[in-house]
Amino acid sequence: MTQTATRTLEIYPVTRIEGHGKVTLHLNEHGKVENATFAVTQFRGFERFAQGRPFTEMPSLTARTCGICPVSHLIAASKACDDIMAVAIPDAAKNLRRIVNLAQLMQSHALAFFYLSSPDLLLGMDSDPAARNLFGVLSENPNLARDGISLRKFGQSIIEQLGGKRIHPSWIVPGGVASPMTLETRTFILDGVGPAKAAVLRSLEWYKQAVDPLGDGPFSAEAASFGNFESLFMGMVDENGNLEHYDGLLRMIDAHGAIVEDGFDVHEYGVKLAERVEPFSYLKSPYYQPLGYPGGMYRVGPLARLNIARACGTPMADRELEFFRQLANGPVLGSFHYHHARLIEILYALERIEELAADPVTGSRRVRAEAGPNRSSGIGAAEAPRGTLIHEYAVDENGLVTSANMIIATGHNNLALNESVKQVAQRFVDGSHIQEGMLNRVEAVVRAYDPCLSCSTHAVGKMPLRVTLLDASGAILDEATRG
Amino acid sequence: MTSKSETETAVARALVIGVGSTLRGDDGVASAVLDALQGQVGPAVTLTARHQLTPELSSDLAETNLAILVDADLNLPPGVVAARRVLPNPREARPDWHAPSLADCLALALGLYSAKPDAWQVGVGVQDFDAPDALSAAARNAVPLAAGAVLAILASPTGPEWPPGVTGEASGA
Repeated sequence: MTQTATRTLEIYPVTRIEGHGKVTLHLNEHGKVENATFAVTQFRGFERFAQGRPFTEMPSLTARTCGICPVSHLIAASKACDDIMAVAIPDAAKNLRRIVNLAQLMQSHALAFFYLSSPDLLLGMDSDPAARNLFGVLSENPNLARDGISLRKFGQSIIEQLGGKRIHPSWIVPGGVASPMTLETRTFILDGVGPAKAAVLRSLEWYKQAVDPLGDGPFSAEAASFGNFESLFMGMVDENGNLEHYDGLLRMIDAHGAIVEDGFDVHEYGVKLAERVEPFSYLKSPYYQPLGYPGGMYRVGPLARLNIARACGTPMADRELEFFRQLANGPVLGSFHYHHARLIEILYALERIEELAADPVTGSRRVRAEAGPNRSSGIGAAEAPRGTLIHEYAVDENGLVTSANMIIATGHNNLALNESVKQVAQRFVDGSHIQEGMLNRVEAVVRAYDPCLSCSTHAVGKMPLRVTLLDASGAILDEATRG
Repeated sequence: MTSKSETETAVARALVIGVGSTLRGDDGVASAVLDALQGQVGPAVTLTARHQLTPELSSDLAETNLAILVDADLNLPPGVVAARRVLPNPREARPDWHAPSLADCLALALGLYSAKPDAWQVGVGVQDFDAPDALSAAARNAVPLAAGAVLAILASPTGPEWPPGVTGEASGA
């Protein structure tokens, strides 16, 4: 092989169904990775075809963006509609939205951790891809598989009990929720919280022993190079600076823990954040405007939320947060630790769900405010499982949408994803030939962020990857296909 | 209380799963079959609609004696209803866990919960996934046939007597 030309290595598709992504690695003449891009190659156009529709349709319409986290879109969209209607929703509705949002977070995190990532963590990055799936987990650690299944099922069941169905429930509506919580649902939730907390605590203990994030564990190389770099972190906090997923103000910190922005209302997002469109991807790249592009790169999601928050605000999660904070002297920078953060957030979600379900206010039958359009625009935000989700709509005098903008968590993380893929590739990729372990690590670093275009990253061990190594003239030097 | 119109169920607990999206034409045929079964089955039978199968189904399978999956089937001629027994997939199988089959979920139920319910799949031949929320005539006509197949299995899981128009696997538990 001639080593005089720069080359490009493409991994495409890195996805199968809901979104298609492509990783491109640019190699220099020595076969070393110089740059990397993570691109979403599928155009969907929700922001365009929302135009002309009544604003009240936006929750159910935009929820179709995703089959994994439709509740997050329902929440952000309904909050934007509340803003257009200029209403303060009833306290019970607020609590119920919080519960369903946390149930969504729990089921999504359980999917990401147990179904998708635990095979890598349990069996190793270089293990046989045929075994890197739930059957592999079942064989190696059936208790972990059972706990994962029970946690996801509990989250889905809460959504189903409250919303009427697991996917795309139409229960979260502008002005509140469509119906109050029944006594049966309250009992179901409170009865289920205890076993679920036990399951996630067992999983945390397993993770701390098996992965050994504080020591020189089996994944120390991955922890050191899976998106381990300085960046900003952003997420919501409550009035005490604690973890918040529904209705807080946004906080941004730098890589050393200094607060860069605090208490900024999501209505200011257009001033603080900007979006860049790169020609190679349909996924936009938001950045923190004062630091410019790409210096304003920031991360969102569970890792960011634990980094920015003063505390979780619930006793069990706070004990786990104490351990988590020993990972670094300041913010935890490595994206590998998103996995750990997800487990802690599941525990937090269960504690908060228990508090909220037991709160007598939540049982009120007053759950919806009625109004027409009273403002010409509205913005809603919430913390989705993968990070801050923002919806903004403008409407005409009849309440028909004239423009829509949605900033999804995966977009916020886009710059960091690119940087992470580059870092992993520089650490593990030998440009002269392609190995399975390299393919899996590139997948795994994308998977650590649990991007929401990621039916691909949901197909653990069987992701349809095609990697092609080309020379400068486009001639194929090496090729590997899997899946 | 079992009404006079309810078919006797031969097992203590049965789960009927209808898979598909009602927003994708004939893909919603299983939901129509579940609607047709409402009022015809007793309290031992749970009817549940799913967009797709997921690994969590394994824990539901572990709590039932009989599982019947109803699904649209593009491999069957439109309007044809066919029933077959389903066994757990072997561990060596490489399932797509984003869209597992009933056999995959049965394998998980066996591996994780040591449960092995009887299981059947009732396929409905379909042709049109483009109509947003309507069934084709062939799928619509097949709904009572598929419901009849489910009732036949519920009445005798090991040796159903198939109603006219249903192609069913012979008994042989």
